[in-house]
Amino acid sequence: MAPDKIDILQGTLDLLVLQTLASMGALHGYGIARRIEQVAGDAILLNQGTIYASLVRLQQGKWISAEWGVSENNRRAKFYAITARGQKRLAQETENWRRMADVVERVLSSPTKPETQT
Amino acid sequence: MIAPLDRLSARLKACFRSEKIEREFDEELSHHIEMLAEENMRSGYAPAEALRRAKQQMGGIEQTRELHREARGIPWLEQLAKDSGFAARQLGRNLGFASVCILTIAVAIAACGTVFSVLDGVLFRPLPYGAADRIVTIWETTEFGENEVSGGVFRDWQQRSENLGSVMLHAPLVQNLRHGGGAARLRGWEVSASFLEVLELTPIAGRGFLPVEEQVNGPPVVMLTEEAWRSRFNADESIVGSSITLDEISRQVVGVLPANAWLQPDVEFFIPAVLNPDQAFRYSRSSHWAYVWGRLKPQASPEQLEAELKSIKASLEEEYPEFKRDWSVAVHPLREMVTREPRPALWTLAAAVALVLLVACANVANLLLARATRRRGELAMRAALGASSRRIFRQSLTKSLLLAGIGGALGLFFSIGSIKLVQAVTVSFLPGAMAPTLDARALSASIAITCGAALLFGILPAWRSCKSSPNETLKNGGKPATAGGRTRSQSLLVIAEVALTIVLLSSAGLLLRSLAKMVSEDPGYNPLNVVTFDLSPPGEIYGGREKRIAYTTSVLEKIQAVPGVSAVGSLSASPLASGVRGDYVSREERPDTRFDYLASVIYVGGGFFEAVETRLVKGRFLSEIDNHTNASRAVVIDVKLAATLFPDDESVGKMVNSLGATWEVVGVIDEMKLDRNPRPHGYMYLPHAYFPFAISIVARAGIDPAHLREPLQKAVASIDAGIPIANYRPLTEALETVREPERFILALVGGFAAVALLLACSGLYGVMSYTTANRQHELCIRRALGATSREIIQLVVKDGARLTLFGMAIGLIAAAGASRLLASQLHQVPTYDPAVIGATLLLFASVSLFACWTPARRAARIDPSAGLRSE
Repeated sequence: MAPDKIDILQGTLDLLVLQTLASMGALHGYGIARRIEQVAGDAILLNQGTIYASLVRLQQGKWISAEWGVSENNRRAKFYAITARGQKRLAQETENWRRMADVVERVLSSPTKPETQT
Repeated sequence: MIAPLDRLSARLKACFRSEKIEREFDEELSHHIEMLAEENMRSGYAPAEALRRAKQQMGGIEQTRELHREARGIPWLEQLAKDSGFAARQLGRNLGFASVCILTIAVAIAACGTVFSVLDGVLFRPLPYGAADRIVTIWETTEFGENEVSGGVFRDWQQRSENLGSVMLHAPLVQNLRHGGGAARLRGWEVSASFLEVLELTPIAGRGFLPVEEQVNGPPVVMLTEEAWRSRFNADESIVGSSITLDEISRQVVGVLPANAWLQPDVEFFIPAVLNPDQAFRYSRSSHWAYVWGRLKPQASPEQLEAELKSIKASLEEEYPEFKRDWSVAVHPLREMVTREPRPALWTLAAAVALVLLVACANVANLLLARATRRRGELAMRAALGASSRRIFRQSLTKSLLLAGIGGALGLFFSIGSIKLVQAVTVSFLPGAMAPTLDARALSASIAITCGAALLFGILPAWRSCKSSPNETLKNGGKPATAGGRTRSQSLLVIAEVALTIVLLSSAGLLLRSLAKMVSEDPGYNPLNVVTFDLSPPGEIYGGREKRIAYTTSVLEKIQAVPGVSAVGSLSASPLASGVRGDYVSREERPDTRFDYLASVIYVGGGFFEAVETRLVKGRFLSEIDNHTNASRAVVIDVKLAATLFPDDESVGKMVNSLGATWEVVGVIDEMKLDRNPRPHGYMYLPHAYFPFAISIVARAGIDPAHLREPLQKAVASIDAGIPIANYRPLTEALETVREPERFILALVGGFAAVALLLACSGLYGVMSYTTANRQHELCIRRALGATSREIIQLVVKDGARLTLFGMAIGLIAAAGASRLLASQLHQVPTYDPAVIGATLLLFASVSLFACWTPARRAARIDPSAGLRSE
């Protein structure tokens, strides 16, 4: 594992999964993992297995639903889709993220203290 | 994040369907890996390499499964279930070991549960009254302590106190209930009409008393207790409104009190306490006969009330009788008064059972340690194969919890029986509201103690089992590397057990000695072959002195005529029960000492002194002539009072002042034990003619008391069939029942000491067996080199003796400390009683010698060549 990839926190991963399902419709586990890797590029350390913990959590909170279906290579696979509740949550969390990013941005770009005159 | 409830229910569901979920996830996982492998193949990898890469990209199959498992279920619960299953299977393979542990724990838990229920009933359980912490007891106090209250002072408090929401007085009564052809004597209380308000109690039927009913000449009414209603009146539905006859007065039943509402045993009725201004005895401030309880107003505290009542007394100083100048007032919360006396004994009981629990835990810990050390090889293997220390620790602890759980459940089962037993024993001296029961509180306490015990005995073995370095152990071929055959922990545990047992044994010994002293104490008279009973002629028919004196005289005559009766007398108090009065007494020529000495007063008639074989020291007994109205007033005093009043001279012939009159001392007798709480300065005995209002009879007869009852009953009934004999018992029994609480405590502490002794010795035996088994190699070599059987035995016994002696030494020091704490409950027994210490040491030494001897003999008997070969 390359040392410059960022570890993603659990909550953030949940958010990414929700976003993926919202924009792509129903997907199976592989599809979700691939999509996240595609969009976020190589900057994300995604041990593909960790999304399953996320998927379980999201199911417990009833933000996504699951159904068995047939995948593109004719194999049985479990497909996940975002629910109405999930949509609401996604909107909320996105808003929170944007706000926090805004604040952090402002803090980080505030002018440095001028040197004191001797 | 997620609503915790949703998540919890989802996780719970997942627990139950875990197999199905596991399978489904495996399918999902293999699909994902396939897709990844296909992608890799498209990128140009060979199929095998593509698959390997795919697994890597996933992050490992097992790890992913683990993540999924953690996210979906309740991991620690599942872990616990797995560990428990494992532990259960382990224990199942060693049933003998498991049953010993479980039985030990069960006995200890049963004992703890029982003692807790006793303590809970008396000390912790809330009283059966609303907001019981607002109820206070109020006393008039002398320099000698709390005293009953006079009617006059009660009225002062009732009328003037701002801190009391409501207040009531009450006093015990006995009255005769007319029923069918005869009569029965009932115990009851007279109470103020406000008593239900003070107690915040609701009757289960009917109502309480109205203020008009406690007025002079108010309508006669009565309330019954639920117990009386059920047993005596057959739970008659129409009891409220009907009338019953008590002491020849027809009273209407207005209500029924709930069961266990009153904190005295055997109470059946309540009548309103009437304070009649014509009855100076009840109404004035000079005679003390009542108990007072009050309910504080919401903002008031007991201290505030006490201060207020003291100031009320100060403001009324002129109206108070002279002798009360130095008297004061005390206010104590009800709960405190009720628990004051039994508290030390109960804490002794709690300490004793705690010791038993510790000994039991030490025993089980030792057993577990021995087992863990024996399985060291297996544990080392597990550690080498990757089991983490934490895992092994958790598994060991789970095993302890499982043992504790089963032991605790069994113990709970035992305690059902033991609590019932204790209930039966305490019913004679504990009121129903304070009886020990197996309720939710006792149950939770038992469970909590079980968990605590599990930690206590489980921590050490668990810690040791995960600490062992696998490398060394495996090198040694799985054998423990300790020299001497046992670990230090095991030695220390045994020493601790011995020490604790010594403490218990010596405490039990001290209590036994104390009780023996109390029981064998000379009561000052000869109670053998004497029976006693009480009579209560109703005031309606026997009003006034003449009638009552006449009744007493006839009864004494009739009883004297009963065949077998050699002497009979009367007294104004029921021996060792109640009714002994008291008053100040002083020498006639020393009026300055008028209120200095407080003595007990008993009025006697007939041949009382002859009947109980009192020992006369000087002068003469009272006789019939002293009862005549124009006789001079005669009094007999005991040696204690004589020494107090007349330390330097002859007392016979001198005059004393008491009870508002002057009396001539005609005789001095030995002190007699007739009362549970004697006044500080001895006894005075006066002729019954001066106070014929309470009558108890003592009769000496050579006949078995059981056969004597009928003829006596007949004799008494022949004068008045409406007056039954009550409280009939041999005088020896009266003396014994006083000691019932002490007997009870001693029985329990003694029982615990015996259990501890058994446990400690079996612990010692176990450790010695274990040690010699481990030293088998060494001992066989010694034998082969020429040591005799005797030398081997000596070797082993010396080893065991070292442990025992250490334990006994520590135990003695601890026991000395314990005896200091016990001192307040011991009766005339020196704190460091050599007899008790000697007996304890001897007992323990002999039992432990046996415990060491048997393994020693076994070790000496092994054929050395066979022993060495079996290694």
